[in-house]
Amino acid sequence: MNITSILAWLRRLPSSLAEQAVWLSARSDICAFCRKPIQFDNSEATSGLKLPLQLRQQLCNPCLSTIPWLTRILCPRCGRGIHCDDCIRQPNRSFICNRSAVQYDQTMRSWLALYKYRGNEELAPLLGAMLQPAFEELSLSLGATMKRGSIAACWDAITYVPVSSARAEERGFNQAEQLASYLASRYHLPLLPLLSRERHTGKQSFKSRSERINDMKKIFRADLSSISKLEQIYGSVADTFSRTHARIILVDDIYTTGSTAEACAEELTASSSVPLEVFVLTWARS
Amino acid sequence: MRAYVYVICIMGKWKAYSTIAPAVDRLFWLHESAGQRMGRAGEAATEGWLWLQPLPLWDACRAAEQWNLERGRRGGGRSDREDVPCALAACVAAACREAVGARRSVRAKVQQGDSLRGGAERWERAALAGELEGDGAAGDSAAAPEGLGAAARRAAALLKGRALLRSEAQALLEGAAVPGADSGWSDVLQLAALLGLVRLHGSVAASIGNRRGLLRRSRRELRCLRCGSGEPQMRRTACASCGRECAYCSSCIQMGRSRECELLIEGHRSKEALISARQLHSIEERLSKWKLSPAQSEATAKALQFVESPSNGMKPTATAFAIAPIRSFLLWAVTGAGKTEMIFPLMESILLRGGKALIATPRRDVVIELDPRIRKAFPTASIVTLYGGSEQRWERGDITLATTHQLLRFQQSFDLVVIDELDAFPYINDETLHYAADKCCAPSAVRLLLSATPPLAMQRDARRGALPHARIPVRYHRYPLPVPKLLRTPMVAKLLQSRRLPVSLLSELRSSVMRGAQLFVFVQRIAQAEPMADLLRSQLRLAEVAATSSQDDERSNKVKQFREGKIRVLVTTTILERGVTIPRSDVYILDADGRLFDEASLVQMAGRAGRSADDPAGRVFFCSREHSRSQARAVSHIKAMNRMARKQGYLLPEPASKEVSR
Repeated sequence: MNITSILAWLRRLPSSLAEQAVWLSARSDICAFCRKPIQFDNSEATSGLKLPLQLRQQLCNPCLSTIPWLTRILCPRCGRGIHCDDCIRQPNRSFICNRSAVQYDQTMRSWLALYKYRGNEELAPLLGAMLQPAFEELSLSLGATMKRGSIAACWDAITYVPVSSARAEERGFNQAEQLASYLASRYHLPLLPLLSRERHTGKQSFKSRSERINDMKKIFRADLSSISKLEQIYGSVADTFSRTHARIILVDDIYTTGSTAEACAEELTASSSVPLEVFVLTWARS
Repeated sequence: MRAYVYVICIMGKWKAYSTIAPAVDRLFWLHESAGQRMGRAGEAATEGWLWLQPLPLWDACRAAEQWNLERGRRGGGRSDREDVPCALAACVAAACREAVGARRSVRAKVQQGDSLRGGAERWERAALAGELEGDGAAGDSAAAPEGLGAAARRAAALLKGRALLRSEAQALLEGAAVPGADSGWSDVLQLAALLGLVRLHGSVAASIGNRRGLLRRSRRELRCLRCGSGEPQMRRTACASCGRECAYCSSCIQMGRSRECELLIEGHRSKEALISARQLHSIEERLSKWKLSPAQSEATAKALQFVESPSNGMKPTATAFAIAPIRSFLLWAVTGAGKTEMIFPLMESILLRGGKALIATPRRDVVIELDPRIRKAFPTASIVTLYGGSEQRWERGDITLATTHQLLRFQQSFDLVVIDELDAFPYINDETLHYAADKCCAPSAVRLLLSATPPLAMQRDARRGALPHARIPVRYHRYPLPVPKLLRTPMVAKLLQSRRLPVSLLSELRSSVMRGAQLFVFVQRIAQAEPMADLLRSQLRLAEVAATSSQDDERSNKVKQFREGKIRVLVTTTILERGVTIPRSDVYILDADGRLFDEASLVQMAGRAGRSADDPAGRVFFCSREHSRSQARAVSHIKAMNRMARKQGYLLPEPASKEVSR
C-alpha cells in the first residue's frame, strides 16, 4: 500500500465516520419545522419514497407527509411536474436539465423562509437531505448505481449559485452553498466555488418574468482558479470513465423561470476550456 | 457586521472605543466646534489612532475593553507616541485570538505580525481643523453636525427602554422618519452611543475563561443578551457578515436572529423618579370608584400599599444598567375572582405618579380580549397592544399590553409589570421568559404576579412570608367555587373504540344539556378531540357539538361561536383551560387521571364553571378510571379556598346552592 492511498483513506475517514454517526445521533423530540413533539411509530408517512434517515428522525409524520415530492416529472428539461411552456419557448438552454426535490407550495415556502430569512441554519442539513432523492434519481439516470462511490464517480464537481457580497453580509450565509456542501460531504464530491456574483440584483420574488430574464445578463463571473481545478479533476478521470464532457452539478434553492440557472450555466460553459455538461439541482420547483 | 476600534487621548489619558461609524467618532472627539455642536460635553481629544481593519463586532468591543482594562491597571499613565499603535495592535490581536480560540493562535500571531505596520491610522486635530469648512460635502455626518446631533437625540428618545436588533431599530427609526434613518442609521446610532444615550454591542456576548475545555483551552461561554440563553442554545456557523465563525441564539430565533456580530441596541431610560404617593388621594378614596367586592378591595388595598411604599433601593445607582432588586407581589386569586378589575387601581396609581405599566400575558387571544377593557377603564391613557403581527409594534404608551415574548424587546422600561397566569404554559421550562420578565423592569419597579395556581415553590415562599402576597379565596360574585365530583369511567380511548358512553356519564351530560348549560369537555390528546365530538353528537343527539385544539385554524372562530352560544358542547384540550368565560357552563374532564392534567390544570379547568352570578353553581366532573393524586389535590385545593372564604366572611350570607354543604 502506498502513501497516497493511505492519505486518501485518512482523508475520507472523517466524513465516513460522520455518515455513520447519523445512526447514533439522538432522535430529536420535536419536529424541526413545526416544533411539535414527534410521535415515533412504524407507520411511514411516505409516498413509496425511501427517505433519508435524517428526515425521518427529525420531522414529525404530518410534516413528512405534507412534503410535495416531485416524483412524477413531465418536462424532462426543467423537471416540472406539469406540462411546461417555458421549455418550449426556449429550447436552447446552456444546461442539460434541472431536477427539483419538491414542488414549491405554501408549506415549502414557509419552510424555506424559516431557513433563509429567519436564519435558522439548523435546517440546512434537513433541506440538504431533502435533495438526496432527486439527486440520486438524477445520478441513476446518468448511469450511476447505488453502490458506494458510484455516484461520486458520476460527477466531476458540485457547485452552487453564488450570492452577492452585500447579500452574504446581510444574511450571513449562502443557502445554495450550504445545500451544495451538504451533498458534497454526503457523496464525497469535490465542492468548487466556480462562480461569483458581480452585481446585487433586487429580490427575485418581486419581479416579473421578463425583468428576471433581463436582470440575469452578465451578473455571474467564473472563478478562474476553481475552473482550472475543475479542468484538472476532469483531466485525471476523463480516460478512466471515458467521458467526453466534464460533468458538474449546480445547486440552488428555487427554480422559477430558469434564468438564474441559465446565466450560470452560460458563464460556466463559456469560460471553461474543456467541454462542460451542467446539470441543475434545485430544492424547489415553483 | 463589522466594527472598528480606536484610541484617543483626552488630556493626556488614552481611552479606547469601538465604533460602527468611525468618521462620526473622529469629528466628535477631535473637531473642536463640530464635536461641540454634535453634543460633546467635555474637552476635545488631542490625537487618536484608528485600527484600519474592520473587525467582527464582538472582537472590536473586546479589543477596546482590553485596552481600557490594561490602562486602568497601569493607572492610565502616559504612553509615548510610538507605543500607541503597537499597544493597540496587541489588543486587537488578543481579542481576535480569544474569539477564534487559542487553538488557532498561530494564525492570529501571523496576522499580528503583518498588520503591526500600517494597521493603524493616526487622527490629528490639525488635519481636521479645515476639513469641515473646506470640504463640506464630504459626508452627511460632516455636513451637518447639529442635524446629526438632533437626529441622534430623537433616535435615543425613541429607543428609550428598548433592546432591539439592528433591523428592528432601523424599522423603528424609519417608521418615525428620523432624518438619516435609512442610509446613515449607523452614524445616528453611533452618535447616540457617544452621547451615552444608547448602548451598542453584540447581541450574543462572551464571558471569558471561567471554564477550561479539553486541551486546557479556555472556552468562551456565550450568552444571548436579548433572551438570556446560555451555551446550549448557541449554534456556531460560518458567518459571511463578520468573516469568522460566529454563534447565533437558537432560542429566540423566532423574534429575529440574535448573533455575535449582530448589533443589539439598548436605549437608556432617563431616571425620572416617580411622584411620591403622598400627593395622591387616600387609598380608600381611589378604590371606591372601581366598585370591587369586599375581598377584591381588601387584597387590592394591600397590593396598593406595597406598590406605593418607598422601596429601599431608591438611591440612584451609579451605572444606568446596574441590576436593581425587583420587588414582587403575588396576587393569589381563585379562578373568576376578577383579577383584571383588581389591577386597574394599581395601574392607575402608577400612571398618576408618572410611571409606565405593562401587562404581560402568555396568550395572544387574551391580549386582544383585554385591549378594549383596558381602553374603557383608562380612556385618557395611551395604550399599546403588542403581539406577533401587531400594528402598534413601534409605538410607545402609558400602558403596554403584550404577549410575553414581546418583553424580549424591552430593557428596564416599566415601573409596574403585571405578569398574568405566571404558571401557565410558556413560563414553565422557559428560562428566557423569566429573563425577559426581569429585564423589562425599571430599577425599583414593582412586579405583580397573578395566578390562581402558583407553582409550589412560590406557594411556599408566600406562606413563609418571603413573598409579599394577597389571597382572594372567593369569586367576585361571592358564591363558593363548585367542587368537582368524581366519576368512574373507562379511558377515552376505550370509549372511542366501543363508540359508547357509560350510563353514569351520559345521564350527567344529559342533565347538563337539559338545564341549558354549555359544556366544556376536556380530553388529553388533540387526536381525541374530533372523534369525541362525533361520539357526543350521536349519543346526546345534539348537533351543536364542536372540537378544537391548538392545531385548529378555526379555533378563534369556534371559541367565538361557543361564547355566542351557537356551540353547546365544545370538546377541547388544555389549550382552553384558561381565559374563556362562559356564563352558564358545566365542565367534564375526561381521563382526569392522565399525565397532562396536573393539579394546576385541573383547578383551572374546574374554574371554567360557575363564573357568573346568575349561575354560580356550575357542575364539574373529573371522569377517570382511577382517582389520581392530582385530582385529590385539586379537590382539596378548591375546598380549602371555599373554607377560607367562609371563615373570612366573604361568602354571601345564605347558602345559595347545594355545593356549600359539600
